[in-house]
Amino acid sequence: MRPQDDSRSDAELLAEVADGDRAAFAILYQRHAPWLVLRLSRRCVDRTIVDEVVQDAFVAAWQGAGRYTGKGEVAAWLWGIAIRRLVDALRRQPRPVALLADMSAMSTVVVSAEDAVLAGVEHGNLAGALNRLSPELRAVVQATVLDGLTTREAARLLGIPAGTVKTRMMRARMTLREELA
Amino acid sequence: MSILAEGIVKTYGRSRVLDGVTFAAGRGVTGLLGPNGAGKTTLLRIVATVLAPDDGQLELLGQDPGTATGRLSVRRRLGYMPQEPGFHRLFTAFEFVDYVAVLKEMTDRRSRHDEVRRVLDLAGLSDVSGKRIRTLSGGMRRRLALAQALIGDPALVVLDEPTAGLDPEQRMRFRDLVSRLGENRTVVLSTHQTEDVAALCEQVVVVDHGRVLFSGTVRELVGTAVGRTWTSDERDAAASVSWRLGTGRFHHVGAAPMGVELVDPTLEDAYLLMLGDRAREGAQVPA
Amino acid sequence: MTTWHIPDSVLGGYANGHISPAVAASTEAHLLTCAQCRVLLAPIFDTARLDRIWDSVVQQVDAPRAGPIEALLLRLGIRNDTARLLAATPSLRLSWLVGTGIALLLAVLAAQAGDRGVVFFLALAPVLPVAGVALAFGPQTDPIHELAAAAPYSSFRLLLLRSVAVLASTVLLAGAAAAWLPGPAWLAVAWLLPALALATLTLAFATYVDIVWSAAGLASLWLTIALSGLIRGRDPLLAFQAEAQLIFLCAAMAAALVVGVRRHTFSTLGGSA
Repeated sequence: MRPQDDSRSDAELLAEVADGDRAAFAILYQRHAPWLVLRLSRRCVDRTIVDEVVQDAFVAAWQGAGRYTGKGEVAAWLWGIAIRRLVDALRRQPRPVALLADMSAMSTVVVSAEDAVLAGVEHGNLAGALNRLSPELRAVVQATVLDGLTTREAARLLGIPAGTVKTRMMRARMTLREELA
Repeated sequence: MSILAEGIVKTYGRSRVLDGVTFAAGRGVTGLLGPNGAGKTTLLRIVATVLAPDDGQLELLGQDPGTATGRLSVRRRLGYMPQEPGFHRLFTAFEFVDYVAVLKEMTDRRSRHDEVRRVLDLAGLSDVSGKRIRTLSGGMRRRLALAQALIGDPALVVLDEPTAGLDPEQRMRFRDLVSRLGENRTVVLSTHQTEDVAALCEQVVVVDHGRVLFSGTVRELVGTAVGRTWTSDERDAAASVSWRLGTGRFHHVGAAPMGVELVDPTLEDAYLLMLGDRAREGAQVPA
Repeated sequence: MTTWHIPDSVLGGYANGHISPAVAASTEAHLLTCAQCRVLLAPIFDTARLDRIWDSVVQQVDAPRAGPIEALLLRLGIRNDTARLLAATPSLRLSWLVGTGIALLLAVLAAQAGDRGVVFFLALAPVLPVAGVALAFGPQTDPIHELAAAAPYSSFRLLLLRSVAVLASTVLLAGAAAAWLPGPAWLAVAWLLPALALATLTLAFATYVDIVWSAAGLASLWLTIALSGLIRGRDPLLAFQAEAQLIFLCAAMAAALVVGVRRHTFSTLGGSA
C-alpha cells in the first residue's frame, strides 16, 4: 500500500507503532524519511552521518512511540528527535567543518524576485533581509529559530562556543531589525 | 525412511494409551488420522522425543532416540509444534521465536535474528513481529507456533493438530504453508478432520484407541471403502452411517445391500468405515 | 488557514539545493505541517538510499530490547543467549521479586523480634531458593516447557542455570538482610549450608518426582525441623549447631551426586529415558 493510499493520520499510525505494528511503522517511514533526509542533508554534508542519524531517529521513534503526547505534528516530533541525534553525532566528530562550507555555498545563490514572493507574502522584506545575513549569522538563526535548538545544542551543532551563538543571535536580530525598520 | 516405529507402547496409570503402534514415514506429508483420545498426541510427543516410550523400537532420522546422543542428534534436526503451545504472556512474537532459536543452540545473535525474521516471514507474521503475543488473534498464534517449528530448517517437522480451531480461510492458508514444507522434508501432522488429510497428505496412518488401523497411501485407504458407499432417496436401515446430502438425497456407508446405487467413496467414507469396523471387531463399549 | 502549497519548481529547487536560504526556511517550516507536500517529495528521492536505511532500521527494531536484568547479565560478561534464557522468563523475574519481598520482610522481623525472630529468619531463609527454583522450572510456570523438551538445548543445563541464578540472587539478598541479625556473627551465615542442602535435595528428588512436589515436601519437612526447637522449649538453634551443619554439608554433596548421576531424567518429560 502506498503511503498516500493509507488514510490514517500520522498520529493514528504512531499509536499503532506503539503497539508494535510494523506495517504502520513502514508507512510512517515512507511518509517521513524523504524530507528528513533532505532537511538533515542541509545541515550536514556527510551522507554517512545523515543516514545513521535518520536510522537512529526512526529506531528511537519505534521505541519511544508511546511517548508521543499528541500535541503538535508528528513530523515536528520526528524532527525534534532527528536534529538532536544529529547534534550528538556531530559532537562525536572531530570538527564539523563541512557544515559551514555548506552554508556559505548557499549564500552565493541569487535571490530572485519570484523567490521573495513565493516565500509567502507575510514574510515581506524578511526573506531578503534573511538572505543578506552572513552565513554564520544565518546558521545560528536557522539552528535556534527554525530547528528549535537550545543555545547549547546549536553550539554543538555548529561547532562553536555557546557564547558565540548568543552574540551572533544578538547581531542577527539587530541586523534584521535595522533592515526591516 | 525418516521414522520407523515398531510396537510402540505407552502406559499412563492403568490405561494403555499406545498399544503396539507400528508405522513408517518418509519424505512428504504423512497424516495421523484418528478421533480424539486415540493417542495421536502421545505418539507425536514420542516422535518429537519429548516422551520416551515404555516399549517398542523407534528410529528417527537414522538415530536411536533412546540414547542421549541419539536424542540430541534428532533434536538438532527436528521442529515440533505442540497442540497447545504455551506462550510467555509478555513476549512479542519476535522475542518468542528468538527464545526458541536460543533453545535450538543458535548462539550468534546476528544470524539468529536473521533466522527469526526468515521464519516469521514464511508464516506471514513479519508485520506483527513487534506485537505482544496476547494481542495476536488465534490464527496468528497458530502460525507463530508453526514458525518456531521451522527454525533451523529441520528435516523432520511434527505438527500436533495444527488446524484445530481455525476458520476455513485460515485453514486454507495453513494448508498452503504445510504442503510447501513437505516438498523436501518429512512432515507428520495429526488431525481428526479428513479434509486436512485429503488436501495435504500422500500417506496416512489411522489410529484409534492406541492401535494402528491402517497405514498406507490415501488412495489405498479410500480403496478399502469401494463397494460400500451408496446413495438413495430415503434413509436405509442397512447402513452403518447415513447423512443427508445438499441435494436432498441420502448418503450411506456400510454393508451395501444388493441393487443399490453405488458411488465412489471419499476419504471420509473410508475413515468412518474403518472406525466402525474396528468398533465392531473389538466389541468395545464406547467410553 | 491558508491552502498554499509549495510550487513544484520550488520543491525541485529545495531537493537539489538550488534555492535561497529564506525560501528553504519557509519550505521546511511548511513541510512540517503539510502532509500533501511531503508526499510530493517522495518520488523525487533516491529510493535505494531510503531502502538501505530502512534495512538498518529493521535490524535494530526487531531485536528484542534487553531489560534491566538482561543488561546487567550482559555487562557481567555472560553470553547473549545464556542471558536471554535467564532473563527472558517472566516466572524467573517473578520468583526473584517474590524472593526479594520475603527476604526483606524477614529482615524486618528478625531485627525486631530478638532471639525468636532470629530463628524464624534462619528457618525461612533456606526456603527462598527452593521456592525460586520450583517457580522457575516446571510445567505450571514455564508454559514453554514442552517446546524446550524437544529442543537440543540441554534441559538439565537450563535447570542448573536457573537454579544457580535463583540461588545466587536470593543468597545475596538474604545475606544482606542477615547483616542486621542480633547475636553472634556466625548466625548470619548459619542458614547457608541448609540453603545449599535444600536446593540440591530439591533437584535430586526432582529426578524422581515433579519438581514442585519435591520443593514443597522438602520445604515443609525443613520448616518442621528448624522450628521444632522453638516449640519444645529446647535450644531454639538446635537445627543450626555445628553437628547439624555437617549433616547439611553431607546431604548437599550426596544430593549433588544423585543429580549428576540421574541428570538424564531431565531429558524427557515424565522422567526415565
